[in-house]
Amino acid sequence: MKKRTNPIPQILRQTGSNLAKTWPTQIMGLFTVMLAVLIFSFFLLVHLNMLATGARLGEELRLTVYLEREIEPPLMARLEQQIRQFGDIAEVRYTSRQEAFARFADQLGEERDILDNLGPEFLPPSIEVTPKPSLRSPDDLERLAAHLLTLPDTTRVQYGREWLRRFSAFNRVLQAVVLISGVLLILNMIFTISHSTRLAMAARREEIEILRLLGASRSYISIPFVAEGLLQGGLGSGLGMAALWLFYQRIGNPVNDPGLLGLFTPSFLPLPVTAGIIVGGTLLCVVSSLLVVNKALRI
Amino acid sequence: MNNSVPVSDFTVECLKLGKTYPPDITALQNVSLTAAPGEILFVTGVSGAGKSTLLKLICRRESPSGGMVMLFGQNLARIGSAEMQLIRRRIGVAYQDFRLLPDLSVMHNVAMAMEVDYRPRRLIRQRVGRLLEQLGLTDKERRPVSDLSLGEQQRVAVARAAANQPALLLADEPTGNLDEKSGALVMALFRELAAAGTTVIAATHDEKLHRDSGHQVLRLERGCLVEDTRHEKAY
Ligand SMILES: Nc1ncnc2c1ncn2[C@@H]1O[C@H](COP(=O)(O)OP(=O)(O)OP(=O)(O)O)[C@@H](O)[C@H]1O
Ligand SMILES: [Mg+2]
Repeated sequence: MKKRTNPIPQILRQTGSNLAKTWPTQIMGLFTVMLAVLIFSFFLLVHLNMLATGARLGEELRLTVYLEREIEPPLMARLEQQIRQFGDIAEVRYTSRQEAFARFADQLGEERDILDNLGPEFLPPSIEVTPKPSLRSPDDLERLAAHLLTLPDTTRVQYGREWLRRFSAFNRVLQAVVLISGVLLILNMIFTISHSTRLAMAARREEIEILRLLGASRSYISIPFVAEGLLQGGLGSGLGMAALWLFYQRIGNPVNDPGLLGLFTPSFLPLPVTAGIIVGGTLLCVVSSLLVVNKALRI
Repeated sequence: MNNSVPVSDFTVECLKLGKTYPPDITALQNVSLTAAPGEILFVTGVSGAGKSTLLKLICRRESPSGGMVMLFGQNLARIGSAEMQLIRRRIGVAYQDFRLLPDLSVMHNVAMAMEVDYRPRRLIRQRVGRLLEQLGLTDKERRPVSDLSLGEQQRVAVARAAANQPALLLADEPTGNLDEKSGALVMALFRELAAAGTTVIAATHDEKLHRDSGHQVLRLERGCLVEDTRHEKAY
């Protein structure tokens, strides 16, 4: 008569009957978790892509220093030295009038005849300065530009300054949005799951009391409720990610066409990030329901 | 969780047990008793005499204001909550107010006691089926408890208490709503359990149930033990 079996099937049955009884709340919880994960990971996706684009653009970033007159190699060597003194300079390259003219003519291609009556004189000579990746913030670049302006014979320094400022400000805003939506996601999950666990327990208050009278162990009573948190968290996070992936397939891929000069090539969240969000979301839900159940069963 | 070594010959020992409900309602005073395996014990007395209180103290639904309860040789007050749950699975209780789940079927209500003890499904079906048959409830087994008459619900409560073939069965007014015939079914079940070693303690004011039954009777009066058929002379 003292024969016992593996408790797991019985606990699974108990979970199933719990779900059958409270599924509308469960679905609501699932849906809320899914939406929260979708919103958060959408912002994260945009943010990471903007950062990647910024890095890609940064590789092509160079400052052009326009000069009043041509410079002989010995003077150029001195200038280069002065420029490199600023630090973190990857490359310094002199472009003479002649080279500038040739490059311009190349760019014009078919229409190059408009240059027929012009000599190379109308294009100024210039020095192209490429900063190292460590020197990419708008403020650093502004200081570098100011430094370059102090060189002799410099007329002006040109780089995508306004654009860079806006891009960097935009990224900062995005970062804040990601952080805020992350915090909201966490709060929302904790609130949703504790609420739904509390409702589920209230709906079964009488049964819980009788189970305790009959000698049910604490885990026998609590596992079904925690399993609900696990299901809502795991399924909700998984579905949220799946929704983002579908959205990315529809919107992300069309953006990825060569019309945008290949400057913007979106990519989905890396696998570890995706897995991390799903696992993190699930754990958070499990812990939330565990806390509620423990508190309720202690009394 | 060492249940293997019996420390005592008795299933239950109560020593100078007392219970005072707040503010100062004395429900039980200085009650001592013992119950051995296989013994059937009736606790009688008028309404309000303290019968339910005594049973509640024995299964730790209430804690005593004085004295102590030894259960399976262990001091009940010293048992931790996890182990208490294990012990509860060895005690079947038929409550005076039944404590059944009205929405669940008769079978399911009875099976719950075995499910929390992780018994195999097949065994549960067999045992529940047999118990319901013994108590004349076979045709109701799939009905929700809320559809049942009081007398039927009472028998479901007894069936659940007996499901695990407990070492101790506490029955509070098990025949209160039963006619003679159903009462006899319940008594037959008690005797069968006792024959297999279960200690049965039943609270009742139904004289017919224990008169001439040959079983031990304890009489309570305003919380005090006034008669114990085993120690007639003592009172
Ligand atoms: N929770 C409680 N709080 C206060 N007083 C209580 C409580 N439970 C019982 N009592 C009182 O204790 C006394 C004994 O009650 P108990 O339920 O043990 O009687 P009983 O013998 O089971 O009666 P009955 O035959 O009517 O079931 C009664 O006077 C009752 O009013
Ligand atoms: Mg009573």
